[in-house]
Amino acid sequence: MECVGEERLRTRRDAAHVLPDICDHNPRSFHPVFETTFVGDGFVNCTLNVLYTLPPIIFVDPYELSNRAYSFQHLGPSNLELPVAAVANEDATLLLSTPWVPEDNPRVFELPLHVRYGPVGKTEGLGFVQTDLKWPDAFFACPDASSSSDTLPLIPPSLVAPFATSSIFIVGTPPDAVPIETLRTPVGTTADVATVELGTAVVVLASFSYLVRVARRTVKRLSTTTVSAKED
Amino acid sequence: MLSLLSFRHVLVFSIIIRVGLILYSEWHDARSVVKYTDVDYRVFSDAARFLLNAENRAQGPLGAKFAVGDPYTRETYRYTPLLALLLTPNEWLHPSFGKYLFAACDVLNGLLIYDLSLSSTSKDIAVLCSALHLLNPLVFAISTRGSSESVLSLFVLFTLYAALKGHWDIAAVALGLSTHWKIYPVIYGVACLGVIGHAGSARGWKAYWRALVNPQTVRFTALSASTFLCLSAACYSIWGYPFLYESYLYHLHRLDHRHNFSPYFYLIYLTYPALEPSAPLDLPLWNRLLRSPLTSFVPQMTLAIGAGFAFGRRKEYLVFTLFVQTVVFVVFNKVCTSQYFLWYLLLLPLLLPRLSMTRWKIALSVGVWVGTQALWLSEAYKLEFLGENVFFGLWIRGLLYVVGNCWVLAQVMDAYVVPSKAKI
Repeated sequence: MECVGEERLRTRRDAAHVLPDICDHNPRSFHPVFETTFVGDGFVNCTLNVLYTLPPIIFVDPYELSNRAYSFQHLGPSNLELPVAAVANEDATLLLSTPWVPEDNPRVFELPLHVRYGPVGKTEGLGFVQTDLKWPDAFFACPDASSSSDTLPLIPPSLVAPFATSSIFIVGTPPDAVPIETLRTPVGTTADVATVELGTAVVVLASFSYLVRVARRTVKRLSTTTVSAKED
Repeated sequence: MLSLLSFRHVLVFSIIIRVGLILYSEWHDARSVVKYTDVDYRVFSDAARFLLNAENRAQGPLGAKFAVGDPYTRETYRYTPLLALLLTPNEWLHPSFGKYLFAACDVLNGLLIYDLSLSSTSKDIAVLCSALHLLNPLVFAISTRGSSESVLSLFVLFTLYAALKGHWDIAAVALGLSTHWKIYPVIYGVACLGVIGHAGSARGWKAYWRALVNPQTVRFTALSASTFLCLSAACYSIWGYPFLYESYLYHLHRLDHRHNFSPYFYLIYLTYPALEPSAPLDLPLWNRLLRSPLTSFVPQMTLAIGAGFAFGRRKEYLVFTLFVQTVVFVVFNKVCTSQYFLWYLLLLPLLLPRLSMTRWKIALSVGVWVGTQALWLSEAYKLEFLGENVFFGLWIRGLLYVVGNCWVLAQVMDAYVVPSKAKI
């Protein structure tokens, strides 16, 4: 499948087994979209739940997600502005839920992601940092508590309560799949610090001096012109 | 009569454009993942919603008494709570109310520009000046996308309007309101003082000092400062420390590490304080000086305030002075996005009749101004959406942006013609 528009990470899973459909290019934009497609029959009156584990370099905007057609719960670092060096080194957890409508499939979950500026590299040259993003765990939660022997995937205790009386049906992955997407993000390098520091200061101070000179010239011209006008 | 009809045409056309774009934005956003509406509009709207929700209590001493919510619950809302208050009809009237409000401010700005231009130029030129604002794609795109810059522009223009009409008390209050809305208009106070005190007629330092410090200038300063303090005190009493921090204190210490026009972004990113520093840095003095905020702040404020003192001496120079002050503030700021350009583009239509430039110089200046932005934007696209490592190249383009804009400003200063027998 071709990559369309902005970088998309695509996986495709159905209720029986997973059919991965991976984008050709390693996503490198700072705003990739993680797209997961579910195809399947049955599971009437159930909710489909998709659990993401996001490494610190990746974050979601909860305000952006609130405009989507699914509900969500988010735990962990959520700051929208800091680089990765300034946030806690812990993963965030995101659980998306939506009622499953068997007629309305394949059902596509689009999760807009954002990438923080990564850790500054220590070597010269163009640096990148690779981040592995695990495929989300997915499961159906159905009202009849006795009809399945599956148990919840590993999720934070605070997210367990809504599923206490539900039957859980795990959406599996095929045994030969590598359920990891890889993000490749450009990073700055400390080798640039000296040049950037000095270069910025020199240009700013030179521009400052230039404008001071022009301003003085303008003040003199305006004063002279005003005096001449008065004398006239 | 012909010119009056032409201005009406400009006005009507500009209103049609804005209403059309707002209606289009609703249609587009409902169908596309890539939104026409600016992210900031969502921030304002969310803040307005939080403000209406009294359960989410405002944290000031009088917050409970007024039963209003806290707009600062919304992450990244760093504006006066009055903006969220203005946009509360987004919740109970229509989600696009704010856009219509911003567009209306645009149109009012156009009216003010027309009226001010009429005072010193012919009707045809006045129509052209107002059209430069009202029909400027950057202006109507920004307001219809939901950016609130037009509100501050209205306050700034009104300050200028009142000053040029000699209504200094009103100008003082408007300046205080502008400064409450965003801090940077405080720099205009210096220019106003020089004009009030007729500094242009002062000969020698003593006379200049008397021009700056006299009963009229003290009155202006007191009125302006009181307006700012009263508004801030009222907001603090209701919304507490979050208002103080998000509206003002945050901006004193902000570190904008993500790419923007300012070349400072890359150094900020490379030296961003880590949450868990690995080892204390022991930098030599010259390093610490180069990294000090003073290296950026001193040139910026020296030029911005210095231009106010240097040029703010006659009422006829006021538009030129404010323009120069604003450009240097924006160019030397540690962060700069496209919206900042509106701060000085607002004043350009009023300044243009006072510039004497050859067509070649005009074309070159416009070319450099646009070209440096285009150079930067093309590289920024590669970084943001293609993930190419172009940090260093983007920094170089940031330097070109600074140099290019300084050169253009120098051309404007050299081209400025003393207004003779101005009607103002």
